Amino acid sequence: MASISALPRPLAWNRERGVRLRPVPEQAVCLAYRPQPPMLFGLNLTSWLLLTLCDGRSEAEIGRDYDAAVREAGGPGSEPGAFETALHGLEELRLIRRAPAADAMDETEEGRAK
Amino acid sequence: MSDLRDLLRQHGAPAPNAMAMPGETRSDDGLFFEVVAPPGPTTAHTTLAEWSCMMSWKQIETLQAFLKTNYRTTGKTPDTLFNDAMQFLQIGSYLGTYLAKHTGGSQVRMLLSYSPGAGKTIEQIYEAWGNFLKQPPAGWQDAAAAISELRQQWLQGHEREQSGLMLLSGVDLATRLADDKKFPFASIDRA
Repeated sequence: MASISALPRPLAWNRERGVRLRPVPEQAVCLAYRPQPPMLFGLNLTSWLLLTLCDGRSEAEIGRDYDAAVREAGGPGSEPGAFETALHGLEELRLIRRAPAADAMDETEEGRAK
Repeated sequence: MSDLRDLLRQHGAPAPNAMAMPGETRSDDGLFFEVVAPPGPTTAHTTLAEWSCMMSWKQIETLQAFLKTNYRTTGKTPDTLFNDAMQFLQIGSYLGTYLAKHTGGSQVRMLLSYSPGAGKTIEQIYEAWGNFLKQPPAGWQDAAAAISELRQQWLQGHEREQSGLMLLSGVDLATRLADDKKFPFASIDRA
């Protein structure tokens, strides 16, 4: 019988360190500042939604919450594959990073305590 | 999060998109833009330059009448002539003259987009501009005069500013911040 510790740990996603968000709701966008390397990004509603969900949750949880929000709203962001594309895109821009779920939650809590 | 969900309900869920935005570097020394590297074949380092000032409503009416009228016998408006001149000099284009409403007044902004040809330095751009305005080439006298009149209107405004909006990725920040001539507080800030 395999021990629990030998089971693969679920994949979680966190915002990259130091990423700051500045919502601009009147224009339905959010500005995201990435300090390393420095760059400013404009995120539309669905990318903004996804970035806020990357707070240490597992990928499965993020996908579930994303689907619930966009299904209700409707539109291209709710089409199959949009979630994976968006997640991959945010990772390429180095706005989010993957981490084992447990570590990610620890770090998130630490970040909140600061 | 609930605000975001409200926005999604209101606008629908667009295809996800995250795009790089230009970062802003402001300068109050009149050196309102700089070319920090030769642009690549598809990556011109466009820099937006802005002259802005506050104007009274009377001044704005005068400015608008000027902008909407074809200049002298050119058959073109001042904004168009401005744009033609920048393209003629191969230094970019004139985006236009804009009005920004603010509490307590109205701000006018003149926006220039500098996209110089490869290897063109700031000194060369300034020199080309200066020569063009002082001694316009044949056929460009009216364009130079229109630019001068627009600049004169800006000079009559209040709280004038010149600033540059440049791509953050195109700015050599490390060099800039280490250069006492460009950033005199470097020794303090970086200590």
